[in-house]
Amino acid sequence: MEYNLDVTAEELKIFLDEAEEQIQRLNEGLLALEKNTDNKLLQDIFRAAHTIKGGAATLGRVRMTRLAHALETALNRLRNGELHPEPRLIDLMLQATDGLNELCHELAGQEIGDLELDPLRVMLENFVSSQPLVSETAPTPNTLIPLASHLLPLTSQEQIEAQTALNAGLTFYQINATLAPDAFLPAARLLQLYFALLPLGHILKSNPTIEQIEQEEAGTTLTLIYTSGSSTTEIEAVLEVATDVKQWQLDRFDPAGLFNLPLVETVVSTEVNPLLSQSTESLALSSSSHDEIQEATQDVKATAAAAANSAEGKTIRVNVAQLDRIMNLIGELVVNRTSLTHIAKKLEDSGEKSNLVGELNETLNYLSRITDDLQENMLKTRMTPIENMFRRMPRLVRDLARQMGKEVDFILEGEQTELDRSIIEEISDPLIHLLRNAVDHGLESSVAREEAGKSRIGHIKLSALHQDGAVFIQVEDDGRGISPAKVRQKALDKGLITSEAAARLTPEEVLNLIFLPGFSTATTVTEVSGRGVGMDIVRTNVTRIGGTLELETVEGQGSRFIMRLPLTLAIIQALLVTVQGTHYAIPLGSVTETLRVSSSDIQTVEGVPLVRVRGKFLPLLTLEKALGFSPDPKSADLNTTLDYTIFNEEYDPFERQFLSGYDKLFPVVAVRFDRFQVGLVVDGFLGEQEVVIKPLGWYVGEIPGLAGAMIEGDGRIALIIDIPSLLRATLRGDQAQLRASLSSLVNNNL
Amino acid sequence: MSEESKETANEDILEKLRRRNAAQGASNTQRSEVRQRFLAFRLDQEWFGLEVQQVKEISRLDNVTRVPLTPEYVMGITNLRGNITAVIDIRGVLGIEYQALTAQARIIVAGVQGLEAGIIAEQVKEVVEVVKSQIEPPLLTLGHERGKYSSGVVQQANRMLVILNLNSILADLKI
Repeated sequence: MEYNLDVTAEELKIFLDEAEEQIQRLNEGLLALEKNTDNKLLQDIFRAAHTIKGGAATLGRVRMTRLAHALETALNRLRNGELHPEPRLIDLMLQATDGLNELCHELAGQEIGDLELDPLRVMLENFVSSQPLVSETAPTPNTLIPLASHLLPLTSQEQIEAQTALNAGLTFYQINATLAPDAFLPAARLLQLYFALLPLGHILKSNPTIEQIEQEEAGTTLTLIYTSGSSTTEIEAVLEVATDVKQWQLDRFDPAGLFNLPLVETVVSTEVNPLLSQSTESLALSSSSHDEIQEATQDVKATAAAAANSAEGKTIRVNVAQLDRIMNLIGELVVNRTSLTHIAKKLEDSGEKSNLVGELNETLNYLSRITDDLQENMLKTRMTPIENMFRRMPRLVRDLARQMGKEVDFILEGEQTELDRSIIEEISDPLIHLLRNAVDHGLESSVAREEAGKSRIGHIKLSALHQDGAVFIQVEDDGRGISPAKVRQKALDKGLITSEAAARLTPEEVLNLIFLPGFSTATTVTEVSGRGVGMDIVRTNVTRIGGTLELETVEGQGSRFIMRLPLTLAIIQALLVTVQGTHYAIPLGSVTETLRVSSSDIQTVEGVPLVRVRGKFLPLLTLEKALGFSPDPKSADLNTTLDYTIFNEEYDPFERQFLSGYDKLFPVVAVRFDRFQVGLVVDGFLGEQEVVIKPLGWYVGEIPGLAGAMIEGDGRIALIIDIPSLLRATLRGDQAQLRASLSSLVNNNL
Repeated sequence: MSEESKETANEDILEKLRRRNAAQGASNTQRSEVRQRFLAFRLDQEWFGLEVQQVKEISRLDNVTRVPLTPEYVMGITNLRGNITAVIDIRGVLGIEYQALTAQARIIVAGVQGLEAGIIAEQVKEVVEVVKSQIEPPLLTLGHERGKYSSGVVQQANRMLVILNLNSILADLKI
């Protein structure tokens, strides 16, 4: 049963955004709690649960409210030291957090899986209530008195006030004051005392109530639940000087008793308190979920507003599509600026003597600086700390470790490292895979670790680091490492390499075999990893965004996967080359070197031209051919009368010239992908440049071998080459000869 | 060809078309017969028409970058005001002989629902107004492909205008 409260889409979105953050905080907090119990931390996650509860209540989500309440109760008892953060409890609380997350998804209109929330909630509640009070066995240094029962129960409003006080870290006191029997105007004295205490704290509840005192329906004693941030001495001073107070007592008490009052009826029935209206109070509490909903609402709205205010002025949320549009517009601006520069140049060349030419150039210079600055700043806005993605990982590792029965200490480093948000999205899956591998295959069982003389608890470290214009992300474990011998055997068993080739491989080269498709080192397929899709997918994903993935491992000591990523995807450093009048951009990340190869140095092996570079053979391929341009020019005589060249009938001059034996220097760009290296023959080098990548457009879509297009300063379009997919397409394509030579190259070199 | 003069040329043609459309549109409402306007362009010796509403821009053929692994009819991509636009040459598809493109050649940027492509025309002539009832179904003798990509033919004084079905051209020829 859910209430349909009047909530706008905007409010719902705010709630969901907020809830997402709180859930993340809960997840992190609960994990941290497992390691050490820290009151500030408990306070923090308690507040997270509380905020979700309040928000859910506002929206009339009963299931969410109840679940959050159960979680809050458990956290409260942990905070009061009545429970230990044992793994089973953390499990339940994490599951409850998952449940909240699912309910949020449901609220967002998504399908949710079969999550048995009610049983989960009951389990959590039972667990919490069945635990013996820890405080009984381990008394806290400050002796806390039980609360005078005639002050109980609290109304839901008072509970909320108490909660607020608790959240604010105030101390709870019970104050008992008795007036001298001969006190003049006892009601006035009590009232005096009541108001004297107000500046130092908050009176949560008083017996008799303020109304009763005012109407002189009070006796000579006053009992208060008092919350205060002031020191005990200060409060004592107030009590000390109060007129006509014969006797007073100030005691701290445990506020936990204020909240866990599910059994209202018994409390009420065993207590004789004529001053409290039994019927109304019990009614208020029995419908507490509803009341709480109403009242918690106020509380939460205020908190949310305060949070929103404090964040304002620092950050705003911006739609990513909007950022992309701005990014594109800036690209346009840069292109047009270049056009303007061309025009200014033409004016100058035409002999125009006007002062305006100088002014134009000056303005253009200024414009250039502004646009460069604008572009740079825009790029920065796309950068976000990797933190948001990293934060999900501790939970993942913990759950896996529990599932595998392993003990893992997970360390995060460099969460503040900034990366283009689109890159962060791309590497999330590969990282999860690497972490899974580390827990599943990397770390040994606790027993095996002890036998090997290692600490019982395994360590996994996920770190990010900004260095040399790139971001390095590492997944490190101190597990068993990877054995080259086993990898070699496995690759042989799977028929991935021949035994002759295997015999020639160095240990480093053997390790690289784990990145081959179909390779998986796990001898048994587990639920966690080893489903056959393995490291090759991880490497492919990393390579696709211009990154590299390397492995370092020492048998018996651990493994380290090192991911090197570009800072941004939108702009890359590229080498511009020209072929047949068309310009191409080759991302610098894939380029190993540029050379000029003399045709006399070229040998032909199995029909493939090769050149020897520092002892290794580099197969040569013209860029046009690699891209898969058909040898027959399209629309043959299309533009013979046009003053620019679109197509050139003379296809592949390299081959023609090479075959003719005419001695010539060919510009070659050596590129690499994985273990493959190929020399791409071009007509000329144009230099390095920062390149803004644009998609090829809806009509053309994605083309193997191309990452996109760029608009050059003069408005022409150059194609951006994607080396990994280009080489993969070449290897798979119909260029059998090249493929043959490449694979033989691999066998020779590996 | 500089950016500037290219823009001017485009603007001129478009502006003329718009004015003519407006004038014809005004008179159109007063006639009982439904009329349609088409942009007439030439490929080899034949004339084709595209619905004026679908035409976004007429551009000079300038700096088309060819793209590998695309079908023969894809001439390449070009930069139209910062938008990367595909340029397609439907001559092969329609079974028309290739003639060398001259300075008269244009790219007709046309599209439906925001999906646009540039279509090569050897010459763009004018906007013609046609009484809808005079549009005949495509001739069966046109052959399969041509039948598929045309939605009708109109006999005019000195020529036959084949009306192209832009929807099916863009949908079918999309890579």
